[in-house]
Amino acid sequence: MKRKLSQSRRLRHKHTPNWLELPLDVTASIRHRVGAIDILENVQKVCTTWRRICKDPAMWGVIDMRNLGDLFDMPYDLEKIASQLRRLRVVICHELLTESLNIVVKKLPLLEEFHLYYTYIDFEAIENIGCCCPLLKSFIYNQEGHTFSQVENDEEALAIAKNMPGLRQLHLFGNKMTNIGLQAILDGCPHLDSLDLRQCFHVKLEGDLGKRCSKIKDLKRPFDSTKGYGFVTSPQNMMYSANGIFEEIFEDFW
Amino acid sequence: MATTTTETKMLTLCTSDKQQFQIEETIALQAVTIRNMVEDECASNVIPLPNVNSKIMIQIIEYLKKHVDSSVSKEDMEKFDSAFVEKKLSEIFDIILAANYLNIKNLLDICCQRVADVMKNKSPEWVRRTFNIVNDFTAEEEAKIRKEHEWAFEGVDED
Repeated sequence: MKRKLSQSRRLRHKHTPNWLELPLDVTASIRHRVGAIDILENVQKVCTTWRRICKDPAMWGVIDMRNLGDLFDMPYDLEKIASQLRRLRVVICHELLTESLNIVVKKLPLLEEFHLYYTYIDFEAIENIGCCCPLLKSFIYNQEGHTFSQVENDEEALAIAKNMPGLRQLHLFGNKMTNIGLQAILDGCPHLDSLDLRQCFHVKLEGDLGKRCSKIKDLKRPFDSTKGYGFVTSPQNMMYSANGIFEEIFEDFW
Repeated sequence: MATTTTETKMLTLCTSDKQQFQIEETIALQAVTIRNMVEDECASNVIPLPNVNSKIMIQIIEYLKKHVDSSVSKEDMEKFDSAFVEKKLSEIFDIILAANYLNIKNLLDICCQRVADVMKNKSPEWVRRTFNIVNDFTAEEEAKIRKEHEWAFEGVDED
């Protein structure tokens, strides 16, 4: 099979820049800015050189797959590119299955940051992430606020405490843990310098526990303002709200 | 402290086409490559920049002069930046190469962003036309690629 114009990869016009000759790191910087979906759908289909660059695992240190309104499934095989992945952020993936996640995290040995927003996983998945990603420094597992939930659950907190000892940053917005879970986290993750406990309403930062927490450089307490959270905190709770706490908590947000 | 800076220190930059540009040192030192040359004292008063021509140098100096001015608000600087990159892609290409060589990170970033913005949500055909890139996939390869995600060809910009 003969390639079209195999020697000359571009039309030679006078003063026409050869974009294929840009330094590799510059090309990579441009690709990152285009975003993962455009790379997969368009950029890598331009020519063989770009396809090769796009397939380079080093290109995929950070994957930003924010989906701009396209609701199709995206069956990309990320396996090959994932081995270099350092940051992964997942937002609203309702059908992220524990089994799939358990398989995927095994292939992310270099992962340092794993951020989940509005995406539920169980405590076993958390244990697994801790085991498979020994370099993990930042774990964000933010849910919508559980303002009125009576349910207490320390399983997730205990899984984090036991399996993620290297954490520097931990955000657990809207977690159902109690002081038992928090105590375990403080014991298990001694290097924390950023802890977000907003809307963890079963946690009471008093006494010794409160003192220990206040030593953390960047601490957000359960009743702190949700300003800056970046996502809608929980508008549906408004429907069921009948007391003043809600307005107080969400004042800043609205 | 004694005021010894009544006279502004100047540097001369010499471009590939042997044009000389005399600019204030504080402006020039924003380019890390120039700063290193000055700090290592491997350059006399005249700094040779064989990879940058005068046409591009004029634009880079315009950018550096603006960015050295601390009185410019963040908002105005952003306005300046977005106006600055409103150039032909061939010019952006030259500025990228120069900014990369001179190691001016912000300038490189805004130029890369401009190129990325041009590419966003465009079909491979459009990108090839705009960037003068020849489609060197074989017909078989292309058919295979096209099949990967056929729906992707819907919804891309027409132009």
